[in-house]
Amino acid sequence: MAAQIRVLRRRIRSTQSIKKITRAMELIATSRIAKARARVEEAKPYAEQMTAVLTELASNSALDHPLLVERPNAKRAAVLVVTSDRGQCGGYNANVLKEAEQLQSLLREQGKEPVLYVIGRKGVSYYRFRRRPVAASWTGFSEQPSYEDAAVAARELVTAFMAGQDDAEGNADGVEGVDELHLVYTQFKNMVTQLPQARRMAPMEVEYADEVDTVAGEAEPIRSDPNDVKQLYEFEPSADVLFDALLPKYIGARLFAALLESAASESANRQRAMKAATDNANELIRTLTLEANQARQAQITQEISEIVGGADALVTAGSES
Amino acid sequence: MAEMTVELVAVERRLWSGKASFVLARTTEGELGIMPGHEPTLAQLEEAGVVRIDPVDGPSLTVAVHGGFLSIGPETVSILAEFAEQADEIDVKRAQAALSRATGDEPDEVAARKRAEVRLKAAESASA
Repeated sequence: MAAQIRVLRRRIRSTQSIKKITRAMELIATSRIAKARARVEEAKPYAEQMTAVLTELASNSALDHPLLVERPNAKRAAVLVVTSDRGQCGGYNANVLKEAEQLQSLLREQGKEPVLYVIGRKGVSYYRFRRRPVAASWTGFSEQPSYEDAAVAARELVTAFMAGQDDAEGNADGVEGVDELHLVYTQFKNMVTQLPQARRMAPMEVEYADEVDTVAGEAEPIRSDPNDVKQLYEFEPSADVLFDALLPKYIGARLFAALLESAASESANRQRAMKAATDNANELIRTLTLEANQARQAQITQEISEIVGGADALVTAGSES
Repeated sequence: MAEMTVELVAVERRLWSGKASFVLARTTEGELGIMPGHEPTLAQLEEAGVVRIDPVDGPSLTVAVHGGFLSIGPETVSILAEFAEQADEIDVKRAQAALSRATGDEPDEVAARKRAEVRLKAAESASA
C-alpha cells in the first residue's frame, strides 16, 4: 500500500518536471513566432522592389533566359523540401513530407525523375531512414534562417538547373542537371493555419506587377495612362545582362521568403504542440494526485481498522481470562 | 532644393528610406552620380561597392553594398542589395580580421576579401 503511494508520488513529480520543460518550450516558441513574422514583414520591401524591377526589365529584354523557358522534354525535376531541425512540433514535418511525397509521385506520373534536396535535419533523417538518395542537404538554420543560408541553397539549385540545359542534346558539360525546380515549404496563413505548399520555382513565371491590366484596367498600379507608354529606362549594363544577373537573385529571394514562412510555421506548430503537452501534463497530474490521495486515505482507513481490530481482540482476550 | 525619395532595401530588412538630394554609386560600368531628375535607369552595382547618400537634412550616409541593383524612377531611387551595412554599423576590427583571414584564391575567399575591403572602405570614407 505504502509502495503504491510512493510510485504515484514519483510519477507526479516527473510529470511536473516534464510540464516545466514543455511550458518553457511553448513560451520560447510563442516569442519566436512574433520574431519570425516580423522578419517575414521586413523581407517584403525587397521582394516588392525586385518584382517591380523585373517587370520593367521583362518588357525591355528578350524573354529567352533559360530560367524562363519551359524545356520541351523535362526528365529530372529537383524537389527542395523545407523541414525543421528539431522535433516536438506536432505534424509540421509529417505534413511537409507528405506534400513532398505527393509532388514526387505526380512528377513520376509526368515521366520526370524527382531529385531530392533537403533543408532541415528532420527531412534528412526521414530520407536516410528510407534509404532514398538526397542530392544535397543543408541543416542548422531552420528556426532562424539568414539570407546567406537561402543564397547558398539557391546557388546550388540554379547551378544544377543550368547544368540541365544541355542534357537533352548529348549533355555537353558532362554534369547531370535538372530541368525543373520545385519547392515544398509550409505557408504561414495565420496562427492556427499553416499549409504545406508545393511551388515551382523554375522555369518561373515572373509575377509581373502590371499583370492585372489585362484583367481589370483599374487595378493597375500607377502607370495606367495609355499615353504614358512605359518608362524609357536606360540600362547599365544592357537589359539582357541585367536580367541574367537578377533572375538567380530573384530565386534566392523567393527561397528566403519561403524559409522565413516555414520558420514561422514551425514555431507556430511547436507552440501548439507544446501547449497541448502542457495541458495533458496538467490533466495527468490532476488524476494522479486524486489517485494518490485515495490511496493515502485507503491506507489510513486500513490502519484505523487494524488498530480497532487489534484493540477489540485485546479486549475480548482480557474478558475471557 | 530639389529632392528625391531614396530607398535602400536589403533582403532581410529596409535599411533606410527618406528624401535625399544626391546619391553616388558605382555600377559595373562606372561611377554614377544621381541628382533629382536623373533619367530613369536600371543598373547593376559593383559586386561589392560603396554607396553614398546625401539626405536633404542630416549628414551624408555611407553604405557598403554587396550584390546590389539600382533602379532610378522619375522621383524615386531604390537600391536593392543582398547585403548592406551602414558605415557606422560596421565593425572595423572584424572586417580587418576577415581581410587578413581571406588570403587564398578560392572563389569563397576572394568574395570574403572583397566584402571585407568594401566594409573598410565604407567605414573609412564615413569617418574621413
